[in-house]
Amino acid sequence: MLTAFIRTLSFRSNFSFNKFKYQLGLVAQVACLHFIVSMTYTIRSIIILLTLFSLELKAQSTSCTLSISGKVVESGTGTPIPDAMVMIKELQVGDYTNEQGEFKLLKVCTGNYTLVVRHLNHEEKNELIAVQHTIKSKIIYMACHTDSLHEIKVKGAKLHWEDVTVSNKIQGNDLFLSSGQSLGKALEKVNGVYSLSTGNNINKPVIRGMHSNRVLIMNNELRQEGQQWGNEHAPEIDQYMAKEIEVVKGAQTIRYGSDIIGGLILVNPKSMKLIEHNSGELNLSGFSNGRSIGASALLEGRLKQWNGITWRIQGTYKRAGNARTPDYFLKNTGMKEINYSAALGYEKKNWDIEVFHSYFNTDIGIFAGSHIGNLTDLYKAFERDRPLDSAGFTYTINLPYQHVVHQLSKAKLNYKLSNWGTLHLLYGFQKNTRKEFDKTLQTKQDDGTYKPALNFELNTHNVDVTFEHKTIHRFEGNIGINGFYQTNNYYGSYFIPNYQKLTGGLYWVEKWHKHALSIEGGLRYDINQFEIQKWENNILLNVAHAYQGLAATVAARYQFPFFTLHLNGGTAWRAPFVNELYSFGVHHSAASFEIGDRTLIPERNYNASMTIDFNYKKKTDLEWTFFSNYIKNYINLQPQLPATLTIRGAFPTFRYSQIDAHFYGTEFSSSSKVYKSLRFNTKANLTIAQNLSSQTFLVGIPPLRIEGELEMPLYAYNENTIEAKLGTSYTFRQNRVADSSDYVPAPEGYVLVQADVLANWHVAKHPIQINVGGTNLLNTRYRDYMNRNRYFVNELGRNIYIRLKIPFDVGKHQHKTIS
Amino acid sequence: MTHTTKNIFTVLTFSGLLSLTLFQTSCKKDTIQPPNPNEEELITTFKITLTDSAGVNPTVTAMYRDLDGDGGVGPSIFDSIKLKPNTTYNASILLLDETKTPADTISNEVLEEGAEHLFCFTSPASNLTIQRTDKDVNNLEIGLQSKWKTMSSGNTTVQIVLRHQPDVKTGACEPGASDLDLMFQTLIQ
Repeated sequence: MLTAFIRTLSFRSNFSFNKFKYQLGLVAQVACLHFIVSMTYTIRSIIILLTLFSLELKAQSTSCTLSISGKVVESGTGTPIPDAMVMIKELQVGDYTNEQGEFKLLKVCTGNYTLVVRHLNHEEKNELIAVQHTIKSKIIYMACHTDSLHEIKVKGAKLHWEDVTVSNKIQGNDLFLSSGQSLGKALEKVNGVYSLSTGNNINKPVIRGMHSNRVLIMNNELRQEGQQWGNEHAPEIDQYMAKEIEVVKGAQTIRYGSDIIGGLILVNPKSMKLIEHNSGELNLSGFSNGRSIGASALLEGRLKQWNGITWRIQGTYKRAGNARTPDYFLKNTGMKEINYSAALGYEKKNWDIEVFHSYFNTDIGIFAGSHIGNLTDLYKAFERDRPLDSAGFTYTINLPYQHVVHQLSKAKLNYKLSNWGTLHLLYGFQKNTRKEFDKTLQTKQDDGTYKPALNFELNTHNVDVTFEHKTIHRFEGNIGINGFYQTNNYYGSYFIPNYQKLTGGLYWVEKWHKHALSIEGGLRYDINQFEIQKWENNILLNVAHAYQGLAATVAARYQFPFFTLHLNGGTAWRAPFVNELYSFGVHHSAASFEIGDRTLIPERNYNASMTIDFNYKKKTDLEWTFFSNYIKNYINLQPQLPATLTIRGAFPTFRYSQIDAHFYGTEFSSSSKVYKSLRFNTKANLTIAQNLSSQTFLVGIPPLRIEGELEMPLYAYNENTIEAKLGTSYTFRQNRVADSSDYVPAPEGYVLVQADVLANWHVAKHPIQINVGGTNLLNTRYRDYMNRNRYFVNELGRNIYIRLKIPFDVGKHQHKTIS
Repeated sequence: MTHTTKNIFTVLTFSGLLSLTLFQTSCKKDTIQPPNPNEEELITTFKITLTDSAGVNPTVTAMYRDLDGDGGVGPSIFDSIKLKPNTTYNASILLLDETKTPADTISNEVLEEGAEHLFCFTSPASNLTIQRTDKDVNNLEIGLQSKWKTMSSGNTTVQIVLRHQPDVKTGACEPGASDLDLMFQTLIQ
């Protein structure tokens, strides 16, 4: 294609010699058009066509003196659209709109023409125009794209340039279709994201083979801080609170930290500024497996007396009992969750302020058979067909269980500095308490109750100052500082030490956009220091650690007529966390003895990825990504000889050590119309993680998974629609694991079938959403490589569910649409 | 004031205030002393005492002792069990936490919670039989007390496992998790 492009280019400049200067500019601008041409016709026909065009242009230039000027704006909002291409089809003359959306077409003859307007995020517009004399202030309206698979970014009132970085979003219908589940499960909708599970209620997102400390979750603009290092510590976030969930894979962005080696997840509630009037929303869900129920209510409004004041309250209740595999119940796998949040906003002309508080409280039962004494126990458990700990159905949660409370408070101020830009100030506080109860001799108290075996309290303060400068010469950018102070205290057994951590970061991100090209670059410097306290041989140790480093990213996006090319690269670093430095003890759920290494140094990654986003006439939408992530000094938990001999028997020893690792792979997804309105969607992703130091593969990496889905509208009348989805997925066996690196072989591959029916209905002009569906419809017996309970039990059997979303208005306002 | 200076002023004030907040929070050193792990309950010592039921042969004791708990320095004592042939011994198990002064007798707690615990003895030998002799409230064996019957001479091993079986004790060794798992060299000569 490139050769074709060059050929066209040289050919054009040869012919219209007298217009050379004008042409040169135009050639670059109309390059996109030439791509269409070069793709549709053979080289030969292009030559003929171009000859004709050029001759035509020559002829016109001598006699035509009229011009057309005007403005391209977005229909609905009236916002000017810069960088739209406006072209007279018959004459092949064109112009790009400037930042005010204005364009000017010169040297036009009288006649009837087709005016073609193209823009990245808008529907193409064709308009017939009769030119008798010079036309001034011609207004062209363009409508937003609505059918995109990858939803287009709308950032407040700003124009929605698609970001240079590649991100996937769960919002609207997709978000509704994953409600009532844990956040980790919901995120599995995104291609390339798996969940690292402990049973059915604890799900941690795994992005391109990485999780925990290497994946950052931004909960309502704050770094989620709740003992993230633990494999069985799920994010403490109420999924019902989110308006959208965005996943940025790889180290594409440095705005939120330098330690994003694996990826970034942004969980955002609806902006307070978008609240228009008093309204509410009720969400209900029920699942057959575990007889789980979820209910969430939201109320929001704008005060009439004080017009600038907006408010929102929201609450969620979730309850589940023992889950069931195709053959048996899983003892003690219930959960309970009560969450609420409240927010207040106030806006004036130049500034606005927002305060927010959320409370998350959960009790999660841990499958009784997963607490094992030693390696012999684990082998025996693995050999059994079904666990010895059998049970019927109950909602009661017994020992062992986790009790976690997470509180988050936020205050934010946005201040518009005239002529400069906007200043954002953010302060956040999070308090995380985690208690893990175990039924052992050690934790039984004299009064017969059990004290928590593990008991942590984590307090985190965040300060964020960002200055967003106004667009200067097409540059948009942010400069900011992040400050972070965290203390960890434990009251139960030792697992990680007490620590006080202080980090500071300074970053600068700039974005430049012209026509079809966008470029983004960022630079960041961080200091990370902490002090730990731990007992060793009856002496209280106090050790200080300090790390510092630079991170950088660069990304580019080029929009071709049918596809968009994204390229990005960067480097990030992550300081070793206290668990990697100071763990010491038996991990009962993994039957291993883990030993930290206090001499670890930060790991650094070099990351590159390429995404091709192909979109053809609303019929086919295709995304293909290749990524490579090389990590120097990757901190890895490695088996070590000899086994550790304890009074409870022998445990394999694992020590944190540093290796060089290379993560690479590909993600593919497509959606195409196959017959009438029937769509076929596919997804596939593969991650390979190599230990370069020993020429082996890393353990715990998700296997290859491919998914296919048929999507079809069943009914559409007035505003009422019903659509159905039938999907299947095949998860391969993880073959890239060394035999010595795991106790038992990786489970076999498995096929799952699921279906969903979604109705958007209007009852007395009020829109409601109803979803009925099921997962594992064939009741397949299987075990998943990424579930830590795979040593003991099968995964869940068939699960049939119903979901309901009822938005409502308070007061006299008319119905609104579901978004 | 011009617009620009006003803006600079605003930026500086806000940044100043915020850095001050951060500085204050960071300097307030609210360090809490972590709990000393030595205050926790550990099984550091296993001791088995075997007395000849006929009162002829001398009493035998065997010990396992690891004072710093899991990991670190390995066990300081890991005895062999030395028995005489053709003898019936009454065995009694003692579990101690010797990091405490005085030492905490964990075996008393095992007895108290007898309905949740079971000692299992496994030996490949044909010249040695071991039988539990004590019972819990549900009339299931515990194994703190047992009878060891030796026959001909020969060397073997005895694996002693303490199973913690809350709610799942049936008398079988299978359910639950191991609180203790030791393999003793056993010499019958």
